[in-house]
Amino acid sequence: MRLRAWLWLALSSVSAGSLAAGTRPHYGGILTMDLTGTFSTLEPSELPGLLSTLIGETLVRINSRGEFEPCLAASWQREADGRRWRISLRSNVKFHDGELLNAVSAAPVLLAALKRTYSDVAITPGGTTLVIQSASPLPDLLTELASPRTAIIRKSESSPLIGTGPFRVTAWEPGRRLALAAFEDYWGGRPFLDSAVINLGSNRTSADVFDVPFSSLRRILPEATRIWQSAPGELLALVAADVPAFAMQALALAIDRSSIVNVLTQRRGEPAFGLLPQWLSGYEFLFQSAPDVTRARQLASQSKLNPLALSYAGNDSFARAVAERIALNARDAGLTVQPSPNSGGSLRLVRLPLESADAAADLVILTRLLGLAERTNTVDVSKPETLYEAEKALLDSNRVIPLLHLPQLYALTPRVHFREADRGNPLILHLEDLWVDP
Amino acid sequence: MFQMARVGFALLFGLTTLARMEAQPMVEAAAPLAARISSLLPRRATVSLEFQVLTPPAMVESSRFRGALEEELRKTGLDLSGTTQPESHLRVSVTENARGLLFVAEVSGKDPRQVVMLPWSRPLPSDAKPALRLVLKPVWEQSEPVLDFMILDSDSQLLILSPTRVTSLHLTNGKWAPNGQAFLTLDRPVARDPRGRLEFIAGALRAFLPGTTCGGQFQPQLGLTCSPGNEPWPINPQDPAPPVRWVSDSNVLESAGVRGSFYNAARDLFASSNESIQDRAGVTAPGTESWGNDLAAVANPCGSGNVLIVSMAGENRARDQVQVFEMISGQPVVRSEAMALPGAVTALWPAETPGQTTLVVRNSKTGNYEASRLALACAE
Amino acid sequence: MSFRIKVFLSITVTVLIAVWVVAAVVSALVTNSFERREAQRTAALVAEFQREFDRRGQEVARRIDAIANSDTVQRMAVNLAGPQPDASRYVDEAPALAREQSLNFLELVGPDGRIISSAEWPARFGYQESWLLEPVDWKAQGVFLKREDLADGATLGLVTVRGVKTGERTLYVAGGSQLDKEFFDSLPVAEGMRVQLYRNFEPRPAPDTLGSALAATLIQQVQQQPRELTRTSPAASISAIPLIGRDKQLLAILLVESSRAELATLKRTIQATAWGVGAVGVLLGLILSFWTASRITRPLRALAGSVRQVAAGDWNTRAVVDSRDEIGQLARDFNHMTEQLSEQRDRMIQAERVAAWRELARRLAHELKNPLFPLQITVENLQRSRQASPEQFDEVFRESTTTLLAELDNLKTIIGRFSDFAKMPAPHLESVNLNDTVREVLKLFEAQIRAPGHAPIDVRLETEQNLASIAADSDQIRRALRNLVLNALDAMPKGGTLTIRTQNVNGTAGTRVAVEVSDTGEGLTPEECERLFTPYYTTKQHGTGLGLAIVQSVVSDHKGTISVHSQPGHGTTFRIELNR
Repeated sequence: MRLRAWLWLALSSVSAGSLAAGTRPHYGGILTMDLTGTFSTLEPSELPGLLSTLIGETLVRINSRGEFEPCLAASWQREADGRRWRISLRSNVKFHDGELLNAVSAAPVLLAALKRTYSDVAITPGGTTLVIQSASPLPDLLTELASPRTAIIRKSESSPLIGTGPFRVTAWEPGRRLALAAFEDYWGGRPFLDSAVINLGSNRTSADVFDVPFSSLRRILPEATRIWQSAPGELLALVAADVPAFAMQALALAIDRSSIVNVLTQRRGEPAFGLLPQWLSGYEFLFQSAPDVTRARQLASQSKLNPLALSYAGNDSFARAVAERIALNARDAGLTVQPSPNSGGSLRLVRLPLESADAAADLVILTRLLGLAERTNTVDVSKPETLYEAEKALLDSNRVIPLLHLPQLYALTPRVHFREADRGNPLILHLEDLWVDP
Repeated sequence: MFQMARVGFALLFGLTTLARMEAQPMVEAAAPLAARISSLLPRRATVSLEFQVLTPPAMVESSRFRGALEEELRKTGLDLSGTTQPESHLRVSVTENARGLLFVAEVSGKDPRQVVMLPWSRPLPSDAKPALRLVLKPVWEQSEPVLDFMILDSDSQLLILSPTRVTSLHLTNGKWAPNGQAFLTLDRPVARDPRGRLEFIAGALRAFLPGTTCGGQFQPQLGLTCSPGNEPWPINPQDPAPPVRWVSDSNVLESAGVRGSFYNAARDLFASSNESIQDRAGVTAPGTESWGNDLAAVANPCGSGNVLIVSMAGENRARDQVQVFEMISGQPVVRSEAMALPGAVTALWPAETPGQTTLVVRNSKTGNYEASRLALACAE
Repeated sequence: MSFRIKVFLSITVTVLIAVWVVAAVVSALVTNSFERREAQRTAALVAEFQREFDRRGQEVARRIDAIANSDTVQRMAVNLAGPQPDASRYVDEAPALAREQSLNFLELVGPDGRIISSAEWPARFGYQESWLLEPVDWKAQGVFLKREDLADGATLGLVTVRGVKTGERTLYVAGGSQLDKEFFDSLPVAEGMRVQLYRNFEPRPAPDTLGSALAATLIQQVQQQPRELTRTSPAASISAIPLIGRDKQLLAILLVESSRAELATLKRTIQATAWGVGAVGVLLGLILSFWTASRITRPLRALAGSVRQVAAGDWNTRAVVDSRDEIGQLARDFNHMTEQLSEQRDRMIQAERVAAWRELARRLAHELKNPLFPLQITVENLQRSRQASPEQFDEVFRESTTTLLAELDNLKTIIGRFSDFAKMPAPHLESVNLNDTVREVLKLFEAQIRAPGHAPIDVRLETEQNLASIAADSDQIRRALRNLVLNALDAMPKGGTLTIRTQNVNGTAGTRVAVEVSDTGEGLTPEECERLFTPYYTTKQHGTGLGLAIVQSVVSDHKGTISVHSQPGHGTTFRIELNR
């Protein structure tokens, strides 16, 4: 499915009576949010995507079309074959403590973050300009500058984290609770909400917004609650170690993704045949194939195979349900697959989130996370078939079977409204664009 | 988990543009795609062609595109006639990714399947034909929000108010061409739901934004000077009372004698920030429960007095609709069929031209802001 | 075998037989009783199983009804009957409903037969359960056994089905309980009994999974033809009751095993007791035999000693038995008998002597009369001739004296034979090989047999090679054999076959030696056989009739036996048996 349709679907989850359309955003109010996950640091790179850009921002960000667009940087220029980049900072940007963003304040933070990736990088601040240079070309610098790792943040005694984002931290209990307040002087416009309280590690359904894990999809929600869902941005896949190719091919033919999507994800996910979803790459349909149990059985009968242990995260009941279904499909094909939580099996069921709408960058990340061999070929973005060839090569290695592409799901009570941002990652819910009824 | 891994790929990239103002028609993709396809096949090869469209927005233009593609393929020497047994099978798919349209051509036959792709920007949306006697005339479209616009100088000059500037366009050969812009000096950051209003009275151009008021002229060239503050301004140029003023850092208005803040107002009805249509005293007007936050008074072309053009939620939850009501004895009476819009209404103001309103809709599919004039015509 | 041993054996055998019979009868009765009890217990257990089965079945039916009538399921049925039903929403319902009702299995199946939700195997949503779509009145079908496939294997369940009909569509609720260990633990199993459920999911049961090869064999038999069967081994008795599913397939076999250890112990006890009693009986028999022997055998031995003495010729022996019982009476009767026999023998001897004298006198008279008559005639002739023809008296005198001398010789021969017979000596015993003796005797007659004009006689000698030597008087034996051969030749005036056989004979007294002389003459009648050995009895025209008597005398002196076998027209065989 295409991105705009997903976003339309996200919007269409809203029920009649409290609409994004026909109703102007309302300034003010407090939003409560319950998240089942937890984190113990406010480092933007460690925060979930939902929160990573609320406090600290990056110089550049990737929009819904996968393009780099200005954030704290107003513009940039690439010089000397990518060995030097000139970044112009946006003016009148303030930190949460009122200090203005300038090159001098940004340079140290940025240098420390870039040093982790580029050992010989140097940054020369000058007024509102940063010059980033290195002895070797930095062709992927913009991707780095869009990463939460390079967010421009500071720490102080008064606040655990100071940034330039639409929200500032007013209270932080690591692993339990985060309280945010609207940053009145945010350069992109004050958020509609006055404040937001986020409870971590909570399964309750009483907050204004709460995440809906797939295992809880069929849970009865409070009346008039709507489900907001992102574009499918998480890959659920089987990764193999020491499994013969014919067994992986048989397994891929045996698994009925449609049933898993229809039932276990309540049609909110999509069958995945490629590593990147269709809306992102546009060519996933080329990898599509229908289940063929007969052919799978023929492949599986080529050689006697020991039972395969399928490992999954023990605290993820959705993963368990998928693993059990895979074991059942495998059994139909004559393969024995034994699901086992948290074990080191020859098969692993993994959930890997995409980070942005940049297909090439996401493919690299997936390759690294899946433990597959990296390709160092040049991918020409103007020629998407090169991305296709790279992805095809990864799939032809028979070490990964894409299963599903899953969206993020959040339940919104009727007093919560949102609208689609002009920019923004289609994979996350933008709190800065939410407002609540008075 | 949230670490961005070093990219092993070399990305060839250029600077992005902030606003996409022009979309390339699909049919123009036929030639470059045909060139790429023909590079995979020997000259005069016989090919069977299969065509599929995987993205509904492309349906409208896809048939024209297909014809153009077939013609271009024949020009490259390929035989699509089907009179002889085809040596290869060509499947062309029109699909879409995050960046826009994507044409995918697969060639299969004796050799392993080969694939070529051609990215393409999205085509212009089809004009929304008015279905009612509400008459919608598109004027302008851009990716940046349009807060208000005015057509002046005998319909030859178009002024567009955006959150950070005013753009002047001149009608040339039937097309609006930019001929000037003035950036606004804002004391406060642009509000998250940016709103604004243009006023042109006695040769003086003014722009009213929450927390900032700008004044200037557009001729001989456009120029505006801004100062902080919320000056009052008339919602309806044809009706100076009551004046309203913006509330800073917000998207609501206030007016003396009106209880509470409101998003918009017309004919003593105020779209209150508490989501109801109220009178000055804050009493909810009955029968207006389904109304949205924007309303504008327009002279009734088929009768006397004014009628109200009201925005409200459409059947499709991501898209609004507008409808005409007439208040009779304090009760709203429907006066037209609802007109479905391609997205949410972001601005609805009485136009400087009597009998028309300024309507800005954010297209839910494209994300562009579509500025139109909405007029009334008598139903036949 | 001595009387003591006989008594001992009688008593012992009687006791042993009695003990054995009693032991066998008791063992059989005990076995029968045990088996009856076993059968009763098995039947009781099976009945209890059936009751528990029914009770559980009713409970399952009640719970499934509760689920089918619950708001959740009713709402689900209504929703699924609507346009564009979305069954995926209910994928989690079955586990919760099953937990509520404490059921092991529960499946909610849509009108198309596809599983909406499964409690026992949650991953099976969407899979087809076509059997539910059969046109069956599920309520009337009741509760039945069913094989339930689970992720980790198959098991057996007691299930029932209910249909929730909404319009034209039916939602199926199928569920039940597992026939598990808890079910069998609830059965009252008596001590020594064991209940096992064999799930008929594999084609061939492994004996080690069942604990015995008997059970495995029993199962195979029931698999071939489902019916109740019982098989018994020394260690146990196993009854197999087939459990049939809804569509008549054999799903499981209930095995009720009764240990026969108790019976075996009992039987061993009985056997041991029998052995003990038998041993006591043997001991008793031994004691009794000794006692009885002392009471019975001794006097009988004394009596037997007396009998042996009598048999040896001492007719004056008297048995001395003091008892007053039957044995004493027997002894007295014996003494009386011997007295009578002695007297009778004396009288008989006397009579025989008289008869023998008379016979001898008759024979003498007969034998002497013949030569005497010519003597008399000759003397008379001489007298007449002297008186009538004195001139011929010399010639007549010469002829008559010749005749007188011949007849006198004849007289002397006859008298000589009688004298020989009268003065036959006791045999002088030495080691004699009869084969040699027979050959010698045949040599004597060789010339006679081969003489021209003699009737053709075929002589056959059939001697045993390893003929035992005997202690005998070789002369007498030769004489006896000569007489027999002579008689045989005389019996074949026109010729025939003379056969002489020797052989070892194994008799009760040891090896004896036999010699047979057979001829192919006219044979003898039975009356002639009887009188054959009487002295002077002869069938011949000539002869003294003493030949066979001499043979008999020799045989008698050698403590042997002689017998004759003859049939008129078939020849005669004389058989002599002599001791070694």
